[in-house]
Amino acid sequence: MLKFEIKNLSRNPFVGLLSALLLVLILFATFNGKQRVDNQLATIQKLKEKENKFYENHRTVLDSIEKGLKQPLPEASWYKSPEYPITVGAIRGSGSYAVLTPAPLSAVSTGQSDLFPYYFKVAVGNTNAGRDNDNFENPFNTAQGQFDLAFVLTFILPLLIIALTYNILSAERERGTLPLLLSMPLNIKQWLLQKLVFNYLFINILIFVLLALSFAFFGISLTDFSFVQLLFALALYSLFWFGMAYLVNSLGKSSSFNAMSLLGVWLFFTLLVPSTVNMLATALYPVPSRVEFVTAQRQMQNQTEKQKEKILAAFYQKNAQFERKASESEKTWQDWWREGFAEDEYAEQMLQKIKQDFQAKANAQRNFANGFQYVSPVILFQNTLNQIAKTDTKTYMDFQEKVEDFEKEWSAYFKGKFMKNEKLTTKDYANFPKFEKESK
Amino acid sequence: MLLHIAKKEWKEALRDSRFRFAAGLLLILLFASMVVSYNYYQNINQEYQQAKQTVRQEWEGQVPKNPHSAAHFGTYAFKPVQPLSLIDNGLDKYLGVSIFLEAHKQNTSQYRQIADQNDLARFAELTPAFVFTYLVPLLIILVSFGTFTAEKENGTLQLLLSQGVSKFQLGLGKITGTWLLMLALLLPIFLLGFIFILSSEFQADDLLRYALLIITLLLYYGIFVNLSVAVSAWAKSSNVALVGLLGFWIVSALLVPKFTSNLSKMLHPAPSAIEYQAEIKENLEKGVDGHNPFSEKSKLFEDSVLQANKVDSVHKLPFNYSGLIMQAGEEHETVVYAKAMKKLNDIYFAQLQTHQASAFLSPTILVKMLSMQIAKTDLQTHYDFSQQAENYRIALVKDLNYELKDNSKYGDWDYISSDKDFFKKNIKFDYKPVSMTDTLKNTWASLLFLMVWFTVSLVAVRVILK
Repeated sequence: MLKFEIKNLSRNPFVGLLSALLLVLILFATFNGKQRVDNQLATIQKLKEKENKFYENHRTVLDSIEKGLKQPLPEASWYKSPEYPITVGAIRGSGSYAVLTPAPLSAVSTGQSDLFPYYFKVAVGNTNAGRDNDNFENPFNTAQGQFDLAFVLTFILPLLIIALTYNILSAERERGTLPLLLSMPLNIKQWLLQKLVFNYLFINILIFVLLALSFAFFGISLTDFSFVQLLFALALYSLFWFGMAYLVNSLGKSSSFNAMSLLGVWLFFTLLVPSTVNMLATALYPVPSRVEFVTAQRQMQNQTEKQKEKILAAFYQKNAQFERKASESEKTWQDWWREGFAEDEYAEQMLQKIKQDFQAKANAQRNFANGFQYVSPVILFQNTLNQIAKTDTKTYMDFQEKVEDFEKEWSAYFKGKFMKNEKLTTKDYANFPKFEKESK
Repeated sequence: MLLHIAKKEWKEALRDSRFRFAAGLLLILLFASMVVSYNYYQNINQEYQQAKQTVRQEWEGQVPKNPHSAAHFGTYAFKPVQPLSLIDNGLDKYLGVSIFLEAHKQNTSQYRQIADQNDLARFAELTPAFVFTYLVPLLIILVSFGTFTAEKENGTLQLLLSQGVSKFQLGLGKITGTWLLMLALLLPIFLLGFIFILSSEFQADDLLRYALLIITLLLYYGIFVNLSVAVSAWAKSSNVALVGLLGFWIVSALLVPKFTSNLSKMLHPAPSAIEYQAEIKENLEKGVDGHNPFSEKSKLFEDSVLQANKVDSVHKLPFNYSGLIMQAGEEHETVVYAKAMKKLNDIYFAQLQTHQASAFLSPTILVKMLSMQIAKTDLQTHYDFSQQAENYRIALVKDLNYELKDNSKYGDWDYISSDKDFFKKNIKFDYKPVSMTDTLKNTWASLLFLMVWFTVSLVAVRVILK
């Protein structure tokens, strides 16, 4: 039986075509994914270099000053002086990059990586005010979606399975060989099942081989555990489609009926369920638009300016060690920064509320939609691939949260030293807060 | 004769339970998506109108301050909502909703809605345009893949031909029948859309656009009808015809657009944000910096101003030099940003052209691009909005810098305009929508392309049904 099937398979011209097509699709998709990851890695490299250069330059100058080789910079050039916490922790150009390093199998799925940033520049009082982490891809392309492995495996693979299996039984009938088959001493359903199981194994082995080849060629890890996860998920996902093929085939209808029904199932799970659930989610759990968010933010900025007097009075009462200057012209640069911080803190507190409210509503919608992933294996599989590639929404949300924590740590360190009027030493340079290394 | 055949097609389709089911489902989807889109449009339009007002109020009611500080305080331009977005919201969710307008720099639009939405939005969004562009062709295939093959299989084809009809006439009749069937099916939905547009804040030009959109769709459906009939006439069995047509749909709707998306990036790579900003920074340093009077360029500028006014110090100038150098810096910065933006937009445009070129395999991508262009929810409309916002920013900042230059003394950073209503008198952002002429200029090539598709598909019918 097995021998016969293999012979059958090797003679079928469609199988050759299918294998060649899959090879091309997988190679192209892996290439695209690899390209994206390489671009990310190159950018990360640049960021690190930029950051290191800034801090190395300042440290070198400071070192010379400490060794008495150089005079400390005059007060007027404070913004260049490596001794001040503000210079290396708050002003433009300073700051440390918090980076989300691509996972070993990141190339598998673009996921949400084209929407969310994978790095932020963190300095006192702001997360990426420079907004140098915008995604500059063409929005038309982003909306269109990428030709990545996730696309090939989630969308194309079921179509190929359908093409391979939709007429197993009906073709026999249409060719007139069904009576012959029926005359043989076997159960027709069992025969169908055997054929499908064989095809199932064939497809899975084929994809495993092609993926392994493609990964090896592009230098993507084959030994990482997530590769095993990928194969396992794939085995389950393709099982679902073969199951569907079995169901439809065993109805014993015509080839065109089978093709239509299976494509109907495909459409239902890939397009109709996700889009309907999305429609429901947005209708039932609306996220207030960012238009409102922006106006609220604006109103708050004005509010902060109007409250300036109160804010500053409270600040100087609490920090009696600082003397409040009567006029603007008397103020030193330190006074400017201190008062600026006081105002920022006030604004940030109010902003936090709006942000949290917004996030809560966005999360409610996400949770609702995620609950429906079990309704469609297509959604489930796509989400699984995103998780394997670590390009899912949760990864980015967690990253953003960590960045916010890091920003607090960074701010506390430099602001703390600044408020105590401390000067930095080269020893401090080694102890600046660091965004934690990628931990699992 | 033609009508007789068409009528027969129609009757047969309506008798087919598969068709009734699929058509019913499609109509429900269209109806639901229309209603949801309309609701959504109303909401965001209201938000937009309110935000526009609030932001202006906040500008006018800001704490009195130095005009240049006000320029740093900045304001926002919000992107208007297009009435036709209730049919096709195009790239709206992938483009930012607002642009922050401030001194010294041109910002890109912020807050793409897609990033705040649940993950399923990435699969497909159930909008009328989605159903029109992707699902209706499937219904056409469903209703007409067997139009000839079934006659062949049942042996009725010979019967028909023996009555003196030519094959081509028969084909034309089937084409007319299917096409009219689609028209009849969609007419209520088109009408509903029409009513919704009438009850939105539309302009006369939107009705014209809607008509153009419907014509585009009907032409597109014509292509699918022609191809289905042609393939059905050519194929030996219904099964082959169906699989062939579905294959074409998959290529046209799924494979080619995604493939081209990556291909266009390979051919015309967009810069990363880091590269983009590094280039801007480099170019900015080549000119006057309003906030750094000690830079080489600023010094040169100062000398030229002093010479022109025949004084030896900025204190002796008849106006506030700070305002002048701020404005000079602003003008330099404006040029740098405009160049960078244009360069980026040119890359996007080249990428879109790659998509357009790929339409020889995919009429779907053509219609997708056309429909968002007609609905003014495409990239070029967004770029046009960005430019208008930028022009407004330039005018506003100039107002503010000149107030500083003409009415304050050098070094007086505490200066507050003596005119209490100064901020109220500042120029307002007045958005001018993209005109129909501009849209036609941008879309004629695609429209022509679509007509070529239609003609070729009709010729295919003629050739096969000789």
